[in-house]
Amino acid sequence: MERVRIPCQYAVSGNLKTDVLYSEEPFSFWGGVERETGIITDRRHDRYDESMSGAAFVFPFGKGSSGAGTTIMEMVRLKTAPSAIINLESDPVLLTGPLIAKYFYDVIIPVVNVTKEDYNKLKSAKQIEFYEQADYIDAYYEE
Amino acid sequence: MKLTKYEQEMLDGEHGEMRQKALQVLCDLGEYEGAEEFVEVTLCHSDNAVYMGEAAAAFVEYLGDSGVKLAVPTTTNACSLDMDKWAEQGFEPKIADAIRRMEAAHAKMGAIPTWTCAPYQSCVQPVFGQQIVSAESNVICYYNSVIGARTNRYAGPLELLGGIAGRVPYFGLHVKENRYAEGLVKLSDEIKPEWFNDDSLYALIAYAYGSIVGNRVWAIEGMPKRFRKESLRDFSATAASSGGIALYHMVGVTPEAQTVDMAFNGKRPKEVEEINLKSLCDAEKQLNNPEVKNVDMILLGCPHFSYDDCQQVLRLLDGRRVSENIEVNITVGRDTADRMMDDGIYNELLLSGIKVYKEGCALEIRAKKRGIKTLMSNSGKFGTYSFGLTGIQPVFGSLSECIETAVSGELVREDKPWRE
Repeated sequence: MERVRIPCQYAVSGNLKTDVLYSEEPFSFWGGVERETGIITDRRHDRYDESMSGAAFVFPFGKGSSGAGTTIMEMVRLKTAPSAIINLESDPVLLTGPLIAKYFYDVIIPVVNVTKEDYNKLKSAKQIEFYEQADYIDAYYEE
Repeated sequence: MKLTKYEQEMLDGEHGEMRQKALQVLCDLGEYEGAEEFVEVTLCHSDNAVYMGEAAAAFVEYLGDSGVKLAVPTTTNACSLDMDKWAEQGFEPKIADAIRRMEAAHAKMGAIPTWTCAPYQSCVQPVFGQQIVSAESNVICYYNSVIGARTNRYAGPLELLGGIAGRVPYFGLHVKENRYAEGLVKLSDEIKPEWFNDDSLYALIAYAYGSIVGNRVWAIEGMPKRFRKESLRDFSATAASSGGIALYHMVGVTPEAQTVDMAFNGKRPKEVEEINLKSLCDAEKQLNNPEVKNVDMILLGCPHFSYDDCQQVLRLLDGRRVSENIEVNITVGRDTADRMMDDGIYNELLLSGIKVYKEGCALEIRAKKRGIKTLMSNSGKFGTYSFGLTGIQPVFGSLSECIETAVSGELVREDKPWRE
């Protein structure tokens, strides 16, 4: 697989290599996903009916009601949470779940932000690798 | 982050383990956001009791059992259900039990038991310019835009950690300079002032506004300057759910946007967009389900109906009863229910055949379990989230259409300029 290094800002960092679920629509965790399975239930979303569980979920930014924090916490408990999150911009609503998971549950869900140009590069990535104490991620592509 | 002596003590654990952990989370957030210091808050609105599984219940209970007290006055958001009538609503005892545990945990921490998603209709609310920490998107949007208090979009249980620490990182909408508008939405002349007599117009414009603006701070010009508080509640709730709006500048209404110049701090808008008749048609297409012929249930109170809304329902009913074929629910906050029980309105609504539920979130309706296949609501927020949460896209209509449908037992649709 071809590796492309992409600069980013980490909100939560950790070592992890994972599959990708790429989307272009803003996303609301509250009302947008089935907690038991990680399947997207928002029919207006471009990855409707697909699962984010165990994948790096790529979406531009969070939207909607502020139930995102508890939704992600419950997905962590049920082991259906995305393994990582990539945004253009993450807001406190979205960071609540991963930050509380880190300090209260000892579970690391890396969250990173990339530029618009690099975001588009993630569309065809097969896997993404995250690192602790870094300012980049690696995207892997099929050759 | 530059810490005060007290903050450093908190971080070192001198004020207890919970305050330490709360500040660790908030420090990480502050560093990510590029904040240099904390800002003290004077109010917290906690949104932690809509049951989303055991994780949140256990977390809140863990905080409550630790003995930690909230550092600032804290109101409580809607929970999942009416704490007295949950069985009638179709909730499982397991969920009622979790809600009671969360209620107790909040009481132990010293929260004010408002149990409403519209705390600005309740006993405690912020004033202009106050730094606060609030969860629940409609409340965030309303406090920032209608009152001019300052909060970012926080989510349960992060805001509770802010309430425990009594502070949040000083960034985003806490900082005056970040609150100015970047772009402007103008209402087209096609939208006539008299159309605003129809309460559903606020949700349609808000839906279109949120779709255009996303999570940015913009202004909207051309809205009426006389309004019901409830219309701004509905605007806030819908704009926050169709986009990620935390602050809108409604020119002439928002305290920080009495003029366009004020909203933009004297600068020119970077972008200008228009909401016209077609935007309203498109918004209604997104919110409404045109295929429904028979309505099983009408849900009012998303966000919670105010005392005045409930009186409005009685005025529209004008002594008539609702049909036996349709179940009509109104959800209200705990103190609205108390007031209505005191003066008889609660009973009057019950006698008209309407079921009034307090404390719970309308979107938590156990539709499938109760065999309900079709819904109707006057709420843009409900119309946005219902399908994802209940699997049912509701009919969207004005309050008057909801009530006429409720009375006649058959779907009533009025002629509207934005309907073909």
